[in-house]
Amino acid sequence: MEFFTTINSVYVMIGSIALGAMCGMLGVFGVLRKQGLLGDALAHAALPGIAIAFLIMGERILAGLLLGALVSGLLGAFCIQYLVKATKIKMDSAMAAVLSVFFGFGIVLLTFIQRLPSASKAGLDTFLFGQAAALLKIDVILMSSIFLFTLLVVFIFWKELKMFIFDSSFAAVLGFRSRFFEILFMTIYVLAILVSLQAVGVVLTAAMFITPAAAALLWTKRLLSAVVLSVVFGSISSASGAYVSIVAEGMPTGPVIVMAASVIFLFSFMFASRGGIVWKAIERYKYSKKVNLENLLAKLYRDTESGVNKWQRSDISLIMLWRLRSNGYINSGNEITLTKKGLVSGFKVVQKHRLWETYLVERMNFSHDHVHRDAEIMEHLLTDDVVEKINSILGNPKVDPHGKSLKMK
Amino acid sequence: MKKTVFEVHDLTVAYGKKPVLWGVDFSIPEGSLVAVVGPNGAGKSTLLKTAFGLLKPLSGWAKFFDKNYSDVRNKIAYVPQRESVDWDFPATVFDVVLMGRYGHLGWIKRPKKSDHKKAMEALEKVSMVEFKDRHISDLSGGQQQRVFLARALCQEADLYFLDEPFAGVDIVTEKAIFKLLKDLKNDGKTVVVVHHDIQTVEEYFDWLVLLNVRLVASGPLKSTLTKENLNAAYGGRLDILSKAQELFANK
Repeated sequence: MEFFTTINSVYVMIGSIALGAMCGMLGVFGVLRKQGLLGDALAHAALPGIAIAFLIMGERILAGLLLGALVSGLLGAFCIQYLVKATKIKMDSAMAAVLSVFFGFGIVLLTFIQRLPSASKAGLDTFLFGQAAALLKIDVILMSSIFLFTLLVVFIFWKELKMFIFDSSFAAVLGFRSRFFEILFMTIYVLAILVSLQAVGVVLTAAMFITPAAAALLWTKRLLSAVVLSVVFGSISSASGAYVSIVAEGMPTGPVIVMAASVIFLFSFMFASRGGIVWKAIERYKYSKKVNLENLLAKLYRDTESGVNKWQRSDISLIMLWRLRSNGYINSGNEITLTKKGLVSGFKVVQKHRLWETYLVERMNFSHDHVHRDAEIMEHLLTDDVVEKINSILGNPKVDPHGKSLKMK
Repeated sequence: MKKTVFEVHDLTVAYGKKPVLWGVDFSIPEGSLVAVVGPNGAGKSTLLKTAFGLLKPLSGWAKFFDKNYSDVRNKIAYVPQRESVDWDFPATVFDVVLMGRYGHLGWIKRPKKSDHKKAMEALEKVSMVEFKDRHISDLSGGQQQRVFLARALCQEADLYFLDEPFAGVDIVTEKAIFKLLKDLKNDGKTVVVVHHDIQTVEEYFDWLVLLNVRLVASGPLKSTLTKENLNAAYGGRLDILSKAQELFANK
């Protein structure tokens, strides 16, 4: 492991993991407060502040740059609030407008700085896409302490966070000051954004917050487990970003972190217990298999009703033959006949269809040519106890509205 | 004469320049089951929000047990409208009910065993014990309303305010909730319900506050639920009032 030989790599790794954990943790609250884009706007709006702070100081001091970022980030946030309040512009448009103006101005300043002859300018563009490998020991200490601070705040005010985000007016009625909560929450959120800027870059910082949290919320219905999961996702993404940043020189960290987080999100989206699309697809497939088999059984039963009780092998596809046989629905020699079990199962499907048609006509005032399509669906869904109930409601009818038998042949 | 537990005096509230409550006075005696009724935009929800200090009135005040709200907070429980929160929030039924204890705890302090017990008792009262670990988004509208009610019950208050608790719930839940409210009344508590369905007022309540920006009537149900009062709240006078509101807003 050549990778850990330089002590600086260890710092970079620790710092990145702390960062990923912090963003993952706060991201859950951000997503639940539906202010994912606010973080994005703040981060983008921070860029001109960084450039101006550099121009004023003439050298690259992280604390100074972050102070500049804070001032212009807050100015951006204020502009957004003002636009929403004073005009008819809605939140999303206001954020988009402010974000692009600030970011554009920041890029202009950055380009200007790059043309300056001063030697210490090197590295300011890392704020664009982030460069975890450029982190120094002192940066990492700053990051870790801010992470511990936000962790402490979340731990202490867990109950309040939960209550305010779920139902803020209830919290206010109980006597909790929402002003205090807002300030507390925005403080840790803005702090977290600021310290992320150098490692992840203004462009992608918001994704550090949103993506792990959104993925975590797909898996769980408990706030605590969502936060823990999001912390894990954030740390993993962040560690992979840092690793690439150390090993492959010049590779920007932010995009790699976001890629890693997005892979986790994609995986969650497909497999998460709460509506992962893969599980849904499997269920749909299983259902359509069941429907096909039941439709065939129903057809065989209807044939039997009209006097046909033997079929040729060529009448039925190989797969369906195999499925009918393995379920014990048919005897197959040269000619195919239904077993007792097959007959009963076929009857049940047909019965459900006809019974449902009867119910719709008798009780729901449908005319008898309007009920077939609905019965096609319900014949696969009705359970035996519902069938019994319908039967007793209708007084055990013998024929359906089309004159077909409801009793087994 | 019974003690007054809730009194509103000359309350005027405006959104922007548009007045939604205008010089409203009334008082509620202890142990009543009160319906606050009026058409849409009559200021019913605004009345509650202002009383709890969520909105600032232009003039007037609201008093609870002859005191300011902040002094008697723990004797008052509030059930907001069900639609006012996002039910996809990651929490279980028990989590939400337990929030009813937060007011007694104050900042930072965590719920204790006794708080858990009280939350369970409240769940029992609304027959939702078996749902306690269920996620709140998996509930029907009626069940969500019961959860909110349980949260208020474990506040152990003397005065309950409910904002449209019967909106969008099934008839079984409506009856169940009403029975609980009646039990509260029989225990000597006072219950104030913002209500939209004038049909059920007579069946459920014993005190009426009829509101339409101005106070139309307030008092025991028998003497206030009259055709004239209902006409005044829902009928013709409204046109002039809304015209006046508009003029005021555009001045």
